[in-house]
Amino acid sequence: MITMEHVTKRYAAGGPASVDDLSLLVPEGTTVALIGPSGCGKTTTMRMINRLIDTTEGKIIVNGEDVTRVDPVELRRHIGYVIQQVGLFPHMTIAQNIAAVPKLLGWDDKRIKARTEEMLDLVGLDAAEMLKRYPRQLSGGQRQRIGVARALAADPPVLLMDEPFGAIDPIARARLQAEFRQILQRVRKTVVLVTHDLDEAIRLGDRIAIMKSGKIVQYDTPDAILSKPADQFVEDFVGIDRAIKRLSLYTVSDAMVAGAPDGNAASVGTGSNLRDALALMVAANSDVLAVVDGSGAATGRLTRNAIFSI
Amino acid sequence: MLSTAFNWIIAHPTEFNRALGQHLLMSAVSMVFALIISLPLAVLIVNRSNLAFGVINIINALRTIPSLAILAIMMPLLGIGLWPSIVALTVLAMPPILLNAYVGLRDVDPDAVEAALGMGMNRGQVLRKIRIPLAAPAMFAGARTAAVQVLAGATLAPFIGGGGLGDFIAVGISMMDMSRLLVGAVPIALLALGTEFGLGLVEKIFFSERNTA
Repeated sequence: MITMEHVTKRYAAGGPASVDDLSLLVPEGTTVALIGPSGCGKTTTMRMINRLIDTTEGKIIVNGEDVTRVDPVELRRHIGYVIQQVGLFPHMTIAQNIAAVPKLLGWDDKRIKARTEEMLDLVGLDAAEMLKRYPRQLSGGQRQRIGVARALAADPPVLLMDEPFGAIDPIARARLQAEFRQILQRVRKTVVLVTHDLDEAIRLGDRIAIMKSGKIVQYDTPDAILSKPADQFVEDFVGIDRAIKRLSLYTVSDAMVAGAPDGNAASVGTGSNLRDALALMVAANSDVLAVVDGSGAATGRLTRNAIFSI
Repeated sequence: MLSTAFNWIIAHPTEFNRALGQHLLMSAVSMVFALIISLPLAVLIVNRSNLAFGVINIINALRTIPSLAILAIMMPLLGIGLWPSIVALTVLAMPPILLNAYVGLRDVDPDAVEAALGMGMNRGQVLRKIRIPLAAPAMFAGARTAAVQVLAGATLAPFIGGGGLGDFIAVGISMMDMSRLLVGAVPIALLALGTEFGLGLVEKIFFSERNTA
């Protein structure tokens, strides 16, 4: 759990506050996405948690400990950290990269080796093939996975991520985000994610904190942010298509009813999200879709009205 | 003429070997001194930009002084003999080592440093585990340049009584004896070329695995 209480950061004494009297509670095991326009203080907020930046005022408590009372170097070894450019060490093999923090913590070789292989497995890479390679030999997506594996290697309860998928092409990004979401469900970390990409915040965040000028203007679930923007700023920020974006939070199974539709309707899988389902309806120029299971058998129907009333 | 020079070497092995020994000793000792001074200095100034500015400018100023002038400056300060030559050659070797090491350390991938700090390495660990290994190729390249310069620069040592292979060149010039001149000049050229090539090879073998795509 991370608690920030009335945290303020001024880079120059008496100057403007980059982060202004900000309070935030990130419950254990949840992911919070900090999002906002450039210069809103989201990165500063995140970097104060592992003390890469020191606070000017206020208190930050990570897992019951006031971060200003502990040695910052020791603190960081227990907080995973992933940055956009990954920052893998080019002179070390993948195995050595992942082992970096366990090594700092003085784990023995056997434990490090087992953990390294476990981490590669977790991020979906083949250990036998990867361990001896160098970062330069990997694709951008593979590197980012190694970055996540490295951050999780010492099993830190808290994970900080700064635009982790920003440097990856959109198709690979969506797939990585989905995978990462699954990884998080398995390892249950408390995650603070900084992003400027609303879709990423919606996909990954259990909650989203929208920031403006060093303050949080709305802190809520993606659903609430999209359906009930707190003010004009949030409404403009989430965009005119917020209602459609919100549909991606629900799957077909949330809105379908039993009974296959009459006649020849286009079909949609139970696991697809409603945004895609609506797109299918528009494409098929139809008010109803047949819902099919994995084997292709129709299990029910999805109507336009059901989507609109979700 | 080359064969005359070769025959002279065969006929005077003691003289030749002593000169070669002096040349190598002088070069090696000054390289060691230059490395001992320059590398820690580069580490010291890499995070202190004000200090770095001063040191780099002084070193660059030193670089503009011709080698012969450095030798000449040393003479009134340290007299003649082997030591003044070593000091002069050390001064000659420092700029390439220091500048390469400094630039190498400074230009290490900032993301790797950020990641290292963020995962809990202290300043010393970032230096030892990240900055120095990543700057090693640049440091090595600097040392290689310096080694070639020193081997060639040591040719001028006879002017302040330092000995070495340059002796034969000095004698050759004063006696107008071309073959004697070559007794010094050819081995020096071979040493310099051999060092350049040999260290280049070492560099390739040593730092290649990270460079392969």
